[in-house]
Amino acid sequence: MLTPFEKDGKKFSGPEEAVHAYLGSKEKPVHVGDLEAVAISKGFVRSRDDFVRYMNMFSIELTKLRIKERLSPLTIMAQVVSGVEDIDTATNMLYERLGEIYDVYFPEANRKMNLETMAEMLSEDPQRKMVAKKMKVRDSSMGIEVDDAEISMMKSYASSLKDLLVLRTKLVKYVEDTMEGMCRNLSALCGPLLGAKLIAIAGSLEKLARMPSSTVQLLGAEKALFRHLKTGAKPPKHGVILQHPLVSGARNRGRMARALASKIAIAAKLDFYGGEFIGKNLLKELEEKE
Amino acid sequence: MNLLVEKGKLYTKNMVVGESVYGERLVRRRGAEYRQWDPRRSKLAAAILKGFSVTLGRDSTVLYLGSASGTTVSHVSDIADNGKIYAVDVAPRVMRDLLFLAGKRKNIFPLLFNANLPEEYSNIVEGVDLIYQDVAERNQADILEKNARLFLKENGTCMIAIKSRSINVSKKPGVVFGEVESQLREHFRVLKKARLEPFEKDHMIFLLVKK
Ligand SMILES: C[S@@+](CC[C@H](N)C(=O)[O-])C[C@H]1O[C@@H](n2cnc3c(N)ncnc32)[C@H](O)[C@@H]1O
Repeated sequence: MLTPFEKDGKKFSGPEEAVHAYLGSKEKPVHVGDLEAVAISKGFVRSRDDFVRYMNMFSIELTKLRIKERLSPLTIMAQVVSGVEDIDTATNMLYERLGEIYDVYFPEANRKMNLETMAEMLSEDPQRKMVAKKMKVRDSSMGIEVDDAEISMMKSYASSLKDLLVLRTKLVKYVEDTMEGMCRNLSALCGPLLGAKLIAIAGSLEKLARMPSSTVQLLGAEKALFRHLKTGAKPPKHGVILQHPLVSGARNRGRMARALASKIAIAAKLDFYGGEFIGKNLLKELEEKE
Repeated sequence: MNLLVEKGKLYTKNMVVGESVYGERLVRRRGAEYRQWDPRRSKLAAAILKGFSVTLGRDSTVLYLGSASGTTVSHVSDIADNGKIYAVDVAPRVMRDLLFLAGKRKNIFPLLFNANLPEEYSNIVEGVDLIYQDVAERNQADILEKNARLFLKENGTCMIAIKSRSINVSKKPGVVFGEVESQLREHFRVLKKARLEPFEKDHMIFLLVKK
């Protein structure tokens, strides 16, 4: 019998030893009933206070280790994926605002700048002369003239935007490397970012690996599903897996979403349980479906 | 008694003097420090204000299923200051907060387990006077029954908080509560039940004993 105090009648030296016996143990727990009375009568502890202190330490130590068992770099990666989305939101807002600002000064060039070029150009030098040359527009403008103060402000604005874009590139690289190292099947099948997003939404690779493919298919469509259940609106056919080019480009998206979801369920199981690498074949099978 | 009701507000006597757990107010009463217990943040507090009797004494042994980061558990720990609280939750994220809380309050025993599988912790948790359950799962009645069968003492009580949306979003709360109640009645006698408005929307709480 295994309890926090003994194993097969042999007393543990303390909570630490007990915890290790628990983690290593494959035996089925037996219900003890009145644990405190047993622990006192067998002389494992002297009083209730003793018992409480022991159980508090034991459960804290056990729980710390059980938490650790459930965490891995994938837990960090799942947060980083959301970080990439945060940056996309933030950079779009900064881009729009900086665009409004620059539009007053040099609308002819502003019009031609996307997010990346704006960050690049204006962080170097926002003045018309420079920008006009690089963007191949004339530097005579219908915009107003501004002072150094405005120029320097626009420049700082754009530098921060550029920094965020650099950070985004680094985060994406981190996600790609982590997926490549720990989830090769998912990564090959879905691409690293979508694979990572699925893990993030599911909560962990383990949870994704245990999901039926019908649930995988709708991951990320929780809102629509909720609306469907509540108001009887049309049920969603796919969640984030719509971002997969094979699904978004399919003639019959619902059918492709279903097929992809079932492959994802397989890939996640292989990655979680440490199986072989067949991600590329899974992808090929899908491509042949189309 | 470590529980104080005053002008419609609840307080528990602070076991760790000077420390607020989740930003609640600390006040001095009867020469001691008390923590205000907000019925909008804790369904147990709401239930007490709705007239539920507190089946919890200073020596009580409690099995708390769905402890989350310990908002309510901290008050239970104040009340059962000479008792034992087995606090179970499946989510590592919230468990971490509970570990810090248990580090300061020795009557809390944090356990990272799935309440659906009580056999996995049946050699750690003992017979208890109260099972309090707040787990937001679809098969809540079933979870309570499994745990009560293993751990509830003969004269013990159960409290279960039900959020209708976590069971079925497409049905009206009243219908969901009715269904859960009939499931509960298969194994328990209902001593009291109440909706938690205005403190929580679409929640119901039951006080139960074994049949
Ligand atoms: C609404 S919160 C509980 C709030 C808490 N009772 C309080 O008042 O401070 C629900 C909790 O139940 C946990 N939970 C959900 N399913 C569970 C399960 N099967 N076993 C244990 N805990 C579970 C969740 O992780 C979450 O922390």
